[in-house]
Order: sequence, then C-alpha cells, then structure tokens
Amino acid sequence: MPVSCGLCEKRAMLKRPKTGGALCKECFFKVFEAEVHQTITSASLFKRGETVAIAASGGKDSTVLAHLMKLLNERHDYGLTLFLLSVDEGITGYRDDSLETVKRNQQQYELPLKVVSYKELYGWTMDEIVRQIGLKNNCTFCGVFRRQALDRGAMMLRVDKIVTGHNADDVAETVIMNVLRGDIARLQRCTAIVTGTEGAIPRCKPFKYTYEKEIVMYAYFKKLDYFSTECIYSPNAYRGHARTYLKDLESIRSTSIIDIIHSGECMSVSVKKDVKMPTQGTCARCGYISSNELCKACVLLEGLNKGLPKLGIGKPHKARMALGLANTTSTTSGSQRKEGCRSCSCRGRQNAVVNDTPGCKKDNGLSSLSKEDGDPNSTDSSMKKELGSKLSTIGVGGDSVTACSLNGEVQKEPCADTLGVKGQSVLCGKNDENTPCACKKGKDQVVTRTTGDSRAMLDLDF
Amino acid sequence: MECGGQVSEADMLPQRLPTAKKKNCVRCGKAAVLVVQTSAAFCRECFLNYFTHKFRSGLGKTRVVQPGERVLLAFSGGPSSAALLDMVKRGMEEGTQKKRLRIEPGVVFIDEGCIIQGFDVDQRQQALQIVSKIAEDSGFPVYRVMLEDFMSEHSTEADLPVTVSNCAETSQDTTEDVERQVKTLSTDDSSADRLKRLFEQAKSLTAKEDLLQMLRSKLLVKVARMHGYTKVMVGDSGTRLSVRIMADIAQGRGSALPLNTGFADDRHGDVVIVRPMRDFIAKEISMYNTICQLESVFLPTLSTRAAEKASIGHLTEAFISGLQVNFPSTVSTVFRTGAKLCVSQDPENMPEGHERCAMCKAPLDTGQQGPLQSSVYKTSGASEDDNKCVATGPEPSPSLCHGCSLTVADFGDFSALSDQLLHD
Repeated sequence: MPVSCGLCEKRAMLKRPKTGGALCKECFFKVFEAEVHQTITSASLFKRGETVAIAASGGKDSTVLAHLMKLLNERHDYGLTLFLLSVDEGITGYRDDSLETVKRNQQQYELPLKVVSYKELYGWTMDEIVRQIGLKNNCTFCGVFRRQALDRGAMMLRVDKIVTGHNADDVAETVIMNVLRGDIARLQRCTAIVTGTEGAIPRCKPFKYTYEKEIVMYAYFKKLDYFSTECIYSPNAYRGHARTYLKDLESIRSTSIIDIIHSGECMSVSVKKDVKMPTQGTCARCGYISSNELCKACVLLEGLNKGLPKLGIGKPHKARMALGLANTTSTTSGSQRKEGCRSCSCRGRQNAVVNDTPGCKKDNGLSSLSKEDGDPNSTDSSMKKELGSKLSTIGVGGDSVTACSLNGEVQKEPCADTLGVKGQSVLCGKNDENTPCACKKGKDQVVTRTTGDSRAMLDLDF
Repeated sequence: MECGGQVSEADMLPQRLPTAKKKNCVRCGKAAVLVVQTSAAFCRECFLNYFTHKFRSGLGKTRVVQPGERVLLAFSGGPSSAALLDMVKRGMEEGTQKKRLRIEPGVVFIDEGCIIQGFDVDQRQQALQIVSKIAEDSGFPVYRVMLEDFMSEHSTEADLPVTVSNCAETSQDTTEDVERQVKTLSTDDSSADRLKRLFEQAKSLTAKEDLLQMLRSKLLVKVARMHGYTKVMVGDSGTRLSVRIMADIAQGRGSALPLNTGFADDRHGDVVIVRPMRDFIAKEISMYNTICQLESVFLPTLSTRAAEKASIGHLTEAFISGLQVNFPSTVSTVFRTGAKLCVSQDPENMPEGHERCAMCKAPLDTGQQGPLQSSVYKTSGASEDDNKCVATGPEPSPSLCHGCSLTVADFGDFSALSDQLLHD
C-alpha cells in the first residue's frame, strides 16, 4: 500500500531523515526551505541591503546553499546582494573539476563569481604541499589556508558576510572533534551560528540545523548540478573516525546530530571560569585574527617555505622555537642569510635569503622580485612559478635584507629574531612612514602585498 | 572466578621479559614490572605507592569527603569497584593514625539481574554469592538491593523496602540470604515483573541503558539516605567516564555532563555521589587488581553480546576504545575536556527546585535562553505550516531536560514508572 504524504494527500516520495515522516516531493521542498528560512530569521543572520558572499565549492552543500539563498532572497525579500566566492586549492582531479561546476552554477543562478587560489595567495597549490608533507596532516594546511583565503576573497569583494554550507552533520562532527582534541576554546565557538563577529568578516551557517542527508535529497530531487567526489587527499584524516562515529550514531538514533549540537551549545555556556583560554589577537605578520603571535597560516607557510613542512603541526612550542620567537638573542640579518641559504639553488644569489629544503623546487619570491623587477611579462618559466609565491614569502623572516632595501623603516629596527621584521612593514613596499601601510587595514591587504608585481595584482582582480 | 588477566606463564615469558629487562622503574631505578601509560615504567612497590597516592590525593584535593563521614561504597563486582573497595580498606588499615583514611564505610550492591535477558537464576545466584563474598571480605557492613526495589510501593523513605531491611548489616549466613532473595524474586515479585515489562517496552537499548543508569544512581542515593550515609563512592574509571562524556554529548546531555562525570555529583542534595577512581584509566586499575590479586566478577549487562551499534553507549565505548589503541591519549584528552566544564551557574536561569529536570535532576537545559537555539528551533518549528512533519519528534515536556525527553519518547508509555521516578 502506498504511503501518503504526511502533509498533503499525494503519494509520499521520501522519508525525512530528520524526523522519519513520509513526505511527497513538493512538501519536502516546502518544509526544507521553510526550515532554512526559519533558521535565518530566528537567528537574524542578515540585515537588509547587506552584501553576502556564498562560499561555493561546487559540492552539494554549497550548491544547495547558493540555490536556496537566491530563492529565499527573492521569495522573502531579504534585500541581499549575493556573490559566489570560491577557493581554488589547486588539487588536480578534484578542485579543477568542481570549479567547473561552480562556473556552471554561476551561469544558472546568475550570480557574480570570484575565485581566489592558494597559488596566488600563498604560492603553493595543495598538490605541491602534499608532495612536501605527504598524505598525513595535509588537511591541516588546506583547512587553515582555506579559512584565510575565504576571508581574503570576501575582503576583495567587500562583502558584509560570508555564508558557508556547513550543515548539521558538520557542526556535530566538529563538536566531537573538539572534544577528542581537548580544544575547549573551539568547542565553545564551534556551535555558534555566526562566528568571527569581532574583527573578521562574520560567517554564517544557515544550514546549521539541516541534515546532510536532506541536503543531498534536496539536490537530488531538484536535479541541482553539483560535484560529488571526495577530496583525493582526505582519506587519512583523523576526522574520518569522528565522521564514521557520527554516521553510526545517526543510524542508531536519527536525532543524534541535533542532540550533539544541543550538547555543544550547552557546553559552550558551561566552561569553568578558571580554564585558561587563548586570547584572540592578530597575527604579527599578516594581521589576520590569531590566538598566537603568528597565525597558523603564517606558521604553516613559513614551514613550507623553509622546507620544514611539519613546522606548524604538532607541539606549538616547537614551531615557536623553530621560528625563533622564543629566542630573543639577536641575530643579524647577515648571519640569517648564511643560515638560510645553505643548500638551495639560490645560494649564489645576492638577494636570496629564505631557502627551501634541498630538492625543493620552489624559490623565494622576493629574490626573483628584485632580480626581475620591472619585468612582469618575463617569459622565464621559473619566474612564473615565483610570481605566485611572492605574496607568501614577503614578510618571511630572512627577507629582511631584501625588504630593507625597499623599506627604510625596517632597517631602523634590527631584527631581534629570525622573524626579523614585523609583517606590516615588509608588506608594504613603500617606505614612506607618513602614509601608514594599508595592509593592516584589512581590505586592501592583498593589494599592498603585491607591490612591485603588476601581474599578481592583475590576478587579484582589483 | 579468576579474572581475565591470568595468562599461563609460558605464554607470557617470551614477550614480557625483554621489556622488563630493559626498563627500570622511573622512581627507584629497580627493575620495572609494568608500564603504566606511555613511558612510565614502575616496579611493584612504586606502582602501588603511585596508585595509592593518586587515589588519596584525589580525595584530599577536592575535600568533598570529610573525616569521619559515613560513606557508602557502590560495589558492582567489576574490577574498578573492586579496586575502590580495596583502596578504602587499605587506607583505613595502613599507615599512621594521621595518614589513615578516616571514614565510616558501608558497601552496597545492586542486583540488576532481573532486567538482563538470558541471565538465568542459577547463574545469577552464583554470581551473587561471589559478589557477596568479596563485599563481605572487606569487613564493612554490606547492603544488597534489588533494582526492582525501586518499583516497590513503599518508596517513601520512612518505609524500608523489604529486601533491603532484611539483608542489611549482617555479614553472616549470606548464602542462604542470597538464595532466598533470588527465589522470592523468581516466583512472585510483582515489582520485578513490572520493571521487566517496562524495560521490554522500550524501543531502543539506548533508552534502556539510560534509564538503568538513572535508576541505579537514584537507588544508590536512596539506600544511602535510608542508612544515614551522606556520600556514595562509585568506581567509575577515567576510561568509563570518557566514554560517558562522549555518550552524554551524543544523547544531548551536554548540560548534565559535568554532573555525570565530575568528581562530585551533588544534584541529589543531601547525598553526594563521589567518583574517586576517575583519575585512573582502566588499564591501571586492571594492573592494580592483578598485582594485588583482587577478585572481580563479570556480570552481564544490557549490552552484553549485543552488536556494536546496538546502543549509543555501546557504540561510543567501541569508538573510544578503538581510538585509544592508535591514539593512546584519547581517553585522557576526552576526560580532561569534560573536566573543564561545570554546570552553568547563571543565577537568572535557575532560582530553585523546579528548574531541574524532573527525571535526572540535572539543571534544565530546555529554557528559552539565548544559546540553546536547537531546542528553541525544535519547538518553534512546529508552529509553522509544516508542523506535522517537523514535530514528529518528542514533544519536549517543560519539566524534562533534552536528554530525558528523548529517553521518555523511546519508552512510549511511561506511566508505569513515572510516579517513582519523578517524585522522590
């Protein structure tokens, strides 16, 4: 006997994973859209007239999110201006394909699209990073970099908010992960529907209470065009254990996912007062929000560029030691240079300061910058490679020599440690002290970093 | 019954000797006999000292148990509570007057056999005898309680349930005592039948286990009250508690988690449940039991021989112990995460009494205060035009916490138990 829909008289097409109720296709759409709308309104995620970037990966969550944001924006007249924002991690066979999907979505939903790539922001693609670090821990890089990349992209678009496709399963999984990691600060933050309100661009999760399974169903029945391949680098991630556990829990009790989120919300208000919490500040180098002196992205990047890819992974004090943050004995930039260039191809070069591991093909962006200054159209293949890495390597400790030639301010204060110069002074190539470097101000950050490199600026679409 | 740690000598020697030879005790430098966690190897004496010191310092630091206090030791027969019993016994005997543990202990054992399927009377009787023997060897007064006593009509504190008052405080003629108990139970005990029926009607093993846990601690508190004890010590190990932390989260009990897994649980008011074994992982406890040759009994539980995904608790146990194999710090990390939480004390949100869950007595978490959006969402979602499909889940009762309302929903008709459970 056919089961009829719980809301209308029609024949039911599906069983809702969240409640177990039988529904027809149309009623499911209605309920699904109503729930997301309710999440948005009850948490008052948006104000009229705001510009919102939809973080789009091409996967099911972000495709449904883009579809729904456009739909609800029109239906309920939120009065929002929407953008699609994608991050290109540089994973061949995965992201290049999914970006194609995003580009198709752009056509379908008629939303402007902006793509920022790891290569242009950090000088490394994930493919290159995985070649360095291997399949273990590579998700740490990808996750940390993406977080910042999204923010940078959003700054370029000058949006007020970012919406991400994090669904209830993701939030619940993060709660479990943070308990397993003992990360009480993140445990407190992770269940919030809006994060990063102070300083950074706020991020919202309109799908916070939406089950992954229902998103898939919605995309399937709506015949949305999405990309559904697992990342080729993810299988070794520790997160997989938490994911399996969560799926098993869901099979035992379907409300488990919401229950975990509920627990997470309860726990976020019941942290003991005497528990030491990291204080949030800004990264000394890039100005991004960070609970340490340097943000994780800068530490990881430094590790990559110095050929110590494991630097940011594991014990934080080890990373600090390696970065020389704990070490206050002053090293002159000269000795730095010696240390820096023991074995790479840049040894002979005057300006080369930071080196990579033996065998690392990458070069210092800055060294080439000064070498080939004023010739952005150079066809030199190595130059092409270096262009991208410029952004990242500017500000890296040993660069002080090169940077100093550009920046008078830096020369005044001798680098006390390997870090050498503070990020902002290096970032802006202009040595005029009277015009403060704009890179501290956030929105113009990326542009100012690329001083002297017209091509990179072009890429950044400013 | 021998505990599982006994391996024949021939099996042990080839593997054990090389490590034992290499490592020395980290304290005294003598040859080590065991490795506790990752690196610390101990000789026998130093391990015992370490264990005792950890136990005593845990009690000392928290200052929950006062000198001279009457303390009821919950003894399940398992390794952890056997170690607890032994620690208290030794603490009261050894050392100088000053160092001695000054409490007045009693031992309580709850027989949960009636709700376990396939645990026949003979086996149960056998197990009970061993448990009683171990308990009585301590020399403390022993109370034996049946889980179904909870269902008895005389649930007010003045009226002592029959089985408790009969068997209490005499450490002689135990065997007959137990036999009589089991027999009465198997013939015509209506409260046992009712309890059995209640557990049978539950839709999920998760709910059964949840209810059992609740009944157990309520019964412990009840017995303690009846005999004038102000503290109940339970043998929950760190391993057990970290599983509990995870399982509580998975069951929406995040707000009650600090009570369920902290050192002291004071939600019952006058009787406080204390967990002095929480600083030990299961491995340490089994090593202690092996070294001291302590006996423990294996008693089947609700999830014994069940599939891994039979219940949330069972799955969580498999998950945590599975992770522990590859990531040895899992248990301690989860445990420490839980230790950083406390019951949120917002004076506005909980004035007195009625702001607690009627069932588990934990502070209510379903209020309309800001951060608890998921529960707000659950109820208000029903007011939309789609109410039929949004609200098929449990209708959150105002006096039940999120976790308890889930359990109640799985029990369907809860009237059988509600009187005893809700009004004590």
